[in-house]
Amino acid sequence: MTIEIPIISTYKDKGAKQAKSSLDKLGGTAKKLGLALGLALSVNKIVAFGRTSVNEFLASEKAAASLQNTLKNTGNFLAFPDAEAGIKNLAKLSGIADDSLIPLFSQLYLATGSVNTAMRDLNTAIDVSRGSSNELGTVVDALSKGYAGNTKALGNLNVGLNKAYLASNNMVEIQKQLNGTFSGASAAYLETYAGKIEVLNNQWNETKEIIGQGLVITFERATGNQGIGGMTNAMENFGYTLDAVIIKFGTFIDEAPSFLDKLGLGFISTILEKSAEGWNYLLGVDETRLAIQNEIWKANTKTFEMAQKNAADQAKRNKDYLAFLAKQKALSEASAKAAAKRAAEEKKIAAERKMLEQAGSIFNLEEIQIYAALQNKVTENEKLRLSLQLALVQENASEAGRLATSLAISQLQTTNLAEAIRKLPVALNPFTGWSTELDLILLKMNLMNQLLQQQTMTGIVKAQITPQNAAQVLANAPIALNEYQAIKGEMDFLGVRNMGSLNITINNAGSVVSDADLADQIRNGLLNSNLSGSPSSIGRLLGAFQ
Amino acid sequence: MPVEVKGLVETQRALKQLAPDLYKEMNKEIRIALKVVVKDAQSKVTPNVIGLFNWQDKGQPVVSRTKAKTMMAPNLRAFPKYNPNVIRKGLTYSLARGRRNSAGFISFYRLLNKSAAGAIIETAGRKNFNGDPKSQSNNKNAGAHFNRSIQGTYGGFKSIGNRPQDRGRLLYAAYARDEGRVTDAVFKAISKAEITFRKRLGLAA
Repeated sequence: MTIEIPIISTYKDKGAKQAKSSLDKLGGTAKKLGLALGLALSVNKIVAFGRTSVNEFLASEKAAASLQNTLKNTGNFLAFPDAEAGIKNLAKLSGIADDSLIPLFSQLYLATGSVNTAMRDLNTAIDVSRGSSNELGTVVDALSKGYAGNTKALGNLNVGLNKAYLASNNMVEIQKQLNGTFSGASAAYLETYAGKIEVLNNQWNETKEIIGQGLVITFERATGNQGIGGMTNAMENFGYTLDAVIIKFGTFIDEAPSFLDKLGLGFISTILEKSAEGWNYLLGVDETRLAIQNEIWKANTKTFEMAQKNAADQAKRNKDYLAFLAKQKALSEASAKAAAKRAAEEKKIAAERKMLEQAGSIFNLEEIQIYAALQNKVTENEKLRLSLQLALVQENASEAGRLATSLAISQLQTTNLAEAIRKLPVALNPFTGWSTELDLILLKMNLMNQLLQQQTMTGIVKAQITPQNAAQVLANAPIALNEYQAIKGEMDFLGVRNMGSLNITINNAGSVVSDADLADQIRNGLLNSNLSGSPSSIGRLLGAFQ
Repeated sequence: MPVEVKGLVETQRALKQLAPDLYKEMNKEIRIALKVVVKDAQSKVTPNVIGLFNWQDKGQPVVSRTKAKTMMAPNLRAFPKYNPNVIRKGLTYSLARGRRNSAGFISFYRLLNKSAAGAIIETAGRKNFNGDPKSQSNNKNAGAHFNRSIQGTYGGFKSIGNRPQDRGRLLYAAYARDEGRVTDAVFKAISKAEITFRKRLGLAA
């Protein structure tokens, strides 16, 4: 595990971009898939709807054909339009599909043999069915059987008809009883929500029948003589066309406004805002279109302005750069031109100076005189001298040096000394060792001077020393000061103190009769003391022996 | 904490291609700045951890006591021993571009604590200083003892950010003590190279 502290980082969006791209692709794929699935499902639904509509129409047609055939077979073909219209009317009022009613009507018609009776009994059956929990088909079946003398089924309906009543009354009475019991049941049922839904459903089925009828007619016209296969294709194409419109509309309202806003596609947001208003979107198409166009125009304008600005900036930068290059070029050219001009001027000045020098040299009298002298008959030595003089006048150093050497050699050769001098051995330096000798002399002189100074100082001390100026005199006489300090040290060591003034009176007596005798006595005393081990010391400054 | 900059990749690329001398000079200055922190961290590595005698590397081979080698994991490492030389060697820096992390960021200049023992010194006890409360060990106080010993030798955590994981004892502490000077120096080096490069191209700085 490595622990790291990043000092500087940067964000790399490559992965994020890839992820976003993948998600977008996935979204696009999903959308396409959804679109395809939706399209297929929608087509299927439309095809199914068309098929149901056609089926409804075909079933209705079949029932109608059956009724028509029944009436035709029973000699009441002319009653078919009224019967069909009555059944359709009854279907609308009762909320029961006419293709369901027609078979029941046919059954009752076959049982009663009368269109009117059958229609009335069908009404009664509907009321009984709605008023009880019996199916309409069961009630119709019971009524039909009752007309045939079989009242058992009527008894099984549990509608208040017992066996005795059924056995003692005919169908007219039974009908009256049922009407009395269940009249208005259907109307009451239809007032309910379920009844209304049933009516609407029935009406929808009727509508499908109508659509189916229209579709069949339309597809028949569209496909011509291609049969049922061509009709199916025509239905599918119709479904695809209709579905594409629906899907495109749905795609609009499925887009996320916030996401589009982030992408700068404001006009799509406008679409979505408008689409959120539902029907207002459809009603406000013109307004929306204007808004969309406005957004697009704004976006385009912004882009255009930015592009213009960028182009202008770039043009300005290019212009500045070109101007900079031109300026640099101009500066370079001017510099080169100035350098060339300066070189030409310098060349011209040098040429002029040379000319002036040449002209000036004409009037150089010294050179003229030397040249004139050289024209005369001169010796080699004189010629060299004149040439050297000329070189000096012309400030030609190298030539002057060469000529000077030649002149010197010439002079030596002239006096025959050059060769002799050349052959002489190298002369010894007479001053070798002088420095050492001089140093010794100076040292001795210094020593003598010091001795003389010491003698002078001793004389001064002897002449002028007093207790008052002793310190000053000692300070100026370093040798005496050393002596004094040595004596003082000895005195301090021996414990000698200042005894003040000491007067000694010597009376000549005995063998000491003169100063010489006294000196002898003292010398002998000192010698004796020394011999006895008592050293004597001399206090020179005090003038005493101790 | 790391500072995000934009355009450094392009700057580096331009310098590397068009002004390699400036690029080298910039890297040289950055190395000097990074070395300051690394040297500071290295100077804090102690010869041993007081109270953890058995953790000290005595030169003997270490074998994992809790895991066995298997076919799937033949190179299982034991718990690393404390070796100050290894830790010091692991404290280094890098100017190589790092890998993109989960948040999408790439680091250019990094301070590194590469050694395992160094990482332990750096982070031990950062999550549960007093030991894992859910520890199933027979010696539940071992973790706390370990952390306290390291804390006693190296001192407490120093923080370089607001997150709990922005704390450490060695490299993090050195970086915290540096107080952002290294970042400033790195920025200055980059800025200097860029300005010089621009001047060289004749562009406005």
